[in-house]
Amino acid sequence: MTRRTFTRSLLLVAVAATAAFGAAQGGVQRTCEVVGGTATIAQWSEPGNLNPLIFPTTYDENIQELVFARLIRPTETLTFEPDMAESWEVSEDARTLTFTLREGLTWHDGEPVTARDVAFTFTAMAHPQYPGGRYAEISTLEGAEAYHAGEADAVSGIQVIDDRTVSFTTTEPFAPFLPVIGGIFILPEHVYGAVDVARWQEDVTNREPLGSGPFVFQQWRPGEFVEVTAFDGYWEGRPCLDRLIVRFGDQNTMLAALLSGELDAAPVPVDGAASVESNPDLQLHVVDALSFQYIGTNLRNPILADPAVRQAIALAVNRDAMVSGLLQGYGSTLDTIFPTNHWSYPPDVTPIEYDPEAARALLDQAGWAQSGQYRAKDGRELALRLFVPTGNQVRERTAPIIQANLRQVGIRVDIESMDFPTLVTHLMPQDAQGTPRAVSVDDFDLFLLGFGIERDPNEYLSYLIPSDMPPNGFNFIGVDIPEVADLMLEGRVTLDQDARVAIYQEVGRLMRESLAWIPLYQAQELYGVGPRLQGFSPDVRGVNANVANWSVR
Amino acid sequence: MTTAAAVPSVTAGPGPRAWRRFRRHRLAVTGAAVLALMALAAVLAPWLAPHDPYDLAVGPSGEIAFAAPPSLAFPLGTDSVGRDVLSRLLYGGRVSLTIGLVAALVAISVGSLLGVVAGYYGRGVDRVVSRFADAVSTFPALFLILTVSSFVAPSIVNVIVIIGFLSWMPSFRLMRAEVLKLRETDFVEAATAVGAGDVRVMSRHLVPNALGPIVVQATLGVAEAVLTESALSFLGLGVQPPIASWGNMLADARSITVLQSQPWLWLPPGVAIFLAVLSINFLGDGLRDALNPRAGR
Amino acid sequence: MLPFVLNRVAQGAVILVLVSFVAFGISVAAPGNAMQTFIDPNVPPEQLRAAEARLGLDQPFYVQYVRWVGEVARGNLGYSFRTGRPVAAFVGSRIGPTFLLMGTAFAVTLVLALWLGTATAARPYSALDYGVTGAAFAGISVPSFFTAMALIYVFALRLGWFPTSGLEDYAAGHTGIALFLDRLRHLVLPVTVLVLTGAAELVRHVRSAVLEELGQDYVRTARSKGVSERAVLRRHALRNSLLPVITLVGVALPRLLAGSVITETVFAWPGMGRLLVESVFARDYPVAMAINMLAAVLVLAGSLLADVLYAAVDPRVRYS
Repeated sequence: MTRRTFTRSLLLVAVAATAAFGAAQGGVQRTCEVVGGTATIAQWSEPGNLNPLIFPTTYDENIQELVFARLIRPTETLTFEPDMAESWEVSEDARTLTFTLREGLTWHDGEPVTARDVAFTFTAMAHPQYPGGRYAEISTLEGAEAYHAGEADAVSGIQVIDDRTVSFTTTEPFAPFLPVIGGIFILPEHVYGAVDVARWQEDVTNREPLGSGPFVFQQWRPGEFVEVTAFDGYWEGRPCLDRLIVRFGDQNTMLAALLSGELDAAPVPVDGAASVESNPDLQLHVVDALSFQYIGTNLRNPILADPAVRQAIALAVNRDAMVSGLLQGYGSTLDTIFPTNHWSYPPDVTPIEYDPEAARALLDQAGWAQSGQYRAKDGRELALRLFVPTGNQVRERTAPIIQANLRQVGIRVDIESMDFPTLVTHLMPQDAQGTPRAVSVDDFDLFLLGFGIERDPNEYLSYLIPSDMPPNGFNFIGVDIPEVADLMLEGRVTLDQDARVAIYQEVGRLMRESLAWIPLYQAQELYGVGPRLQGFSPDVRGVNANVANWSVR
Repeated sequence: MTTAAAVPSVTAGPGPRAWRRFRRHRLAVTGAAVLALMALAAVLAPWLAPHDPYDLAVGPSGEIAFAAPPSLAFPLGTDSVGRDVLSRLLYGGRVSLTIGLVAALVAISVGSLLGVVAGYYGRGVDRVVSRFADAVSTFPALFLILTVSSFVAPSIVNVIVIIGFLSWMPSFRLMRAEVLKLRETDFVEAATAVGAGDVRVMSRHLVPNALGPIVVQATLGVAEAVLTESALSFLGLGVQPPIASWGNMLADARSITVLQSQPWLWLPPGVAIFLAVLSINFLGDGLRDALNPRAGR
Repeated sequence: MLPFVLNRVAQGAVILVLVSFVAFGISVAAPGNAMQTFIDPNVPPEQLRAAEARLGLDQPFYVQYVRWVGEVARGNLGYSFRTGRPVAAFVGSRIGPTFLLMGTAFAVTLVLALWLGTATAARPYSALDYGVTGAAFAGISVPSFFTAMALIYVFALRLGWFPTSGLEDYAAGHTGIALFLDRLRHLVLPVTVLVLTGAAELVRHVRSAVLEELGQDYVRTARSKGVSERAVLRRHALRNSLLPVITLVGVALPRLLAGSVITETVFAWPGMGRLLVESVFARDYPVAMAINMLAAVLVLAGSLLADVLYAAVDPRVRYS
């Protein structure tokens, strides 16, 4: 049996299983404790755009996933289950995915959902004037480049076969394709197609979305809240709640509102956990996330180009203290660049110990002799700037710990705080005329940043391959390890899940050796819930997991 | 004939009388005393502080004492990153008081200079400078500070410059008004007749007479600068950690948990700001009464 | 009077142009632009460049400024970079809540200052005088965000008398009288913060102005004629002490606008101040510019109003 046919059979089995699962789900009314009522939750920032194809941030997506639906959606274990598509097939050459929509799907205005809406959504992302920035996600579709350049009328790789069937063909096997599709909400052609794509962000549809998800958009009062109501025609059955209100405000203000009973649920900052726990009416939910924080390095800096120095830094930083003290234990350390709860994390990775003695030994061996409080070599002091972006209080507080820890091994760290856009101008610099240029040794030394997996480890590609150093991509650190680059490119076109696991775990091991990224910790997310709200069950997918099953007493 | 004889001296007479009036204002005297104590503590911080304000309190087995309540070793406890609160309070006082003082000085210097120039030369110069002052005043100060702070690297110097250069308008107006009043008086005409240059006239005759209200303005400016610094810290734009300032220490009180169960984190800087600003306000009040005994008290 | 007003309007226009130039320069000079507020692996640099080009962010400062002025002259305040909303409507929708907050705070401050200022002037150096003076000074000696947090903690969380934030109870869907009362409840704490931090100066000014009036000859005459103390206060001293109050109106507006920034952020109040903070952090300069210009217009209008009132109240003042 060839590898391809083996892969294909595996996928067919998976598809059959999920299709059976989908058939069992379809058309069943859900069982609710109580039907009706209004729940009020909160998030820490107002959404910017409610059109899911315009630069979505997490705050935008939290609202969008209430109003819109996808072809497939992630499960709690990050596999994919049917959403609006009841089944899908993979072609022989593994380059074509064909989806069949369920019967009887409708938009919130009553119009039927057809394959043409799906084709429209994906085609719009390749439109030459599409302003939303997500073209790269589907640029591997056959004909997308031609369409994007204005040389074709349509994307040849998107075929509408009949009212309920649509197929996508990529130019080469694209492993993350399923996760990508699992992250694209479908737009109604009759609403969004009536608006010139170039004006999508300014158009009213960006503020008053219409989809086929569990809730219907009602209103958005800027600065205050978004209101949605239950959609009776939702394919999975009408949600239990009548109304859901999502308020926005500063994290401390929303915590106060939760504590006073004005909110049914809200995210809780780490230092607010104690207040929620000591409140008898409230329950604290602790959720694992797929993001982590790390120290980034500038490998063009000769000090940091020496792996011994990077290792010394990693050994000298007390990451356990960060987890126990700053995160109050709501989190864990991690030893490489993938989140520990994802399949890409190598279980046998060498842990990074906290060992200042070993750090000092390494620095001694590397020729950095102690001279006063700090070390020096060839007349140059071992001094590094640490750029800290504001906006994440726990991350900001790690900076003085890092500074103190490194001082103990003789490294001088100068902390520079800045807001996020300013940090970006250092990581992806521009020249005097405003043209993006390559990173130089002066642009930055060390910085703090977060990263993680949204859907697939392929998201790390541009961060780890040498061809994608700025201005071409996000490899501002300057990682240039041939095996890592080869593995990342291979992982992109390998469809066999077992093979992919091996590939990315090896990347994880190699990056652990390199320590170009020095991983710090993985924080958990905390939510507080009041006594009224039942069924609130956030998980790794986000706060709205299971939202259709929420009910209020 | 020397100008000294022809021009009434500005140092005799009003000075001692003002001092006597000031002394009667008990609250102002208390305020001055409190401020002097605070300034002394700030200056002596390196000797008074039990620990380095940047050092983390590390326990015997290497664990860091995050947000520990007051103890013998750490009389005011440790902060959320494990640093000694008392030491940070003392060093933070240096930062906050320096910002207040220097920003106010920058403000009155710039304002007085522009005011004298505008008032003395009048006409075109006056109109241009006054319009410029109006333009800058038209911005609610925090709006402009916000916009500028967001991109200027937040450092002590920048905070001082921003606050100082956006608060000069009141002293500008005061100085200009005084100069306009005095410009027509006899002694200035006499000085000019004798051949005293513009600068000399401005510096020896005009400015000293307007000094009273300017000093009051400066005093109140210090209070405002200290409060503005803490407002900026609340928004994340003020003096950045790890440098301690009363403003960024108090900003910890944003968290309900801290407010409720970790008072040693915010009470010391809060009380410090409160006492400092209150004292400055009383002092300013007293100075105003001492130097301008118009309203019956 | 009319030529005076027109002259001031003309001068105001010049000032506004100056203000717009400075504000624009500052906004555009900020490092990073609206397309650099996120790093998203799904949005590679060439997509960001395309987006920047579309918004004109890659042009030099003066080109962008001229473009902005041209649009404004045509009545188009542009679109928010972050949300695509038309700026005029976006900012316009936030004026109401800020005015509600500031207006109420100003009215309360005025009433409080006139009442307490007069009362303490009538009984100088009394317990009341010291009490009011002390409270006034205390109010302005605490950073406003702390006052806000303390009030929320005591009155909203511990006592539960008032809500912690927001304009109204969004889930309840009140209308009519119930909505009015709900909004009133939500106004109490934020207005209290603004009053506590702003009333002190006005109280002191009224007090000293009234005291000065009370020392005048005509008051002694009125007293000797047998006019009651209250009538003396009300009809004579208070009227004449309105002048400094009016001048403070001109200054109060910028101060209240500045105060609104902190208060609105803490109370999640959907006003202009909070929107300014958000748009500055998001490098959303069409919105930030509109708010700055609006604030400038309000301040100029306020000071013009103060000057007109001044002339109306004091017959000695004449503007040529």
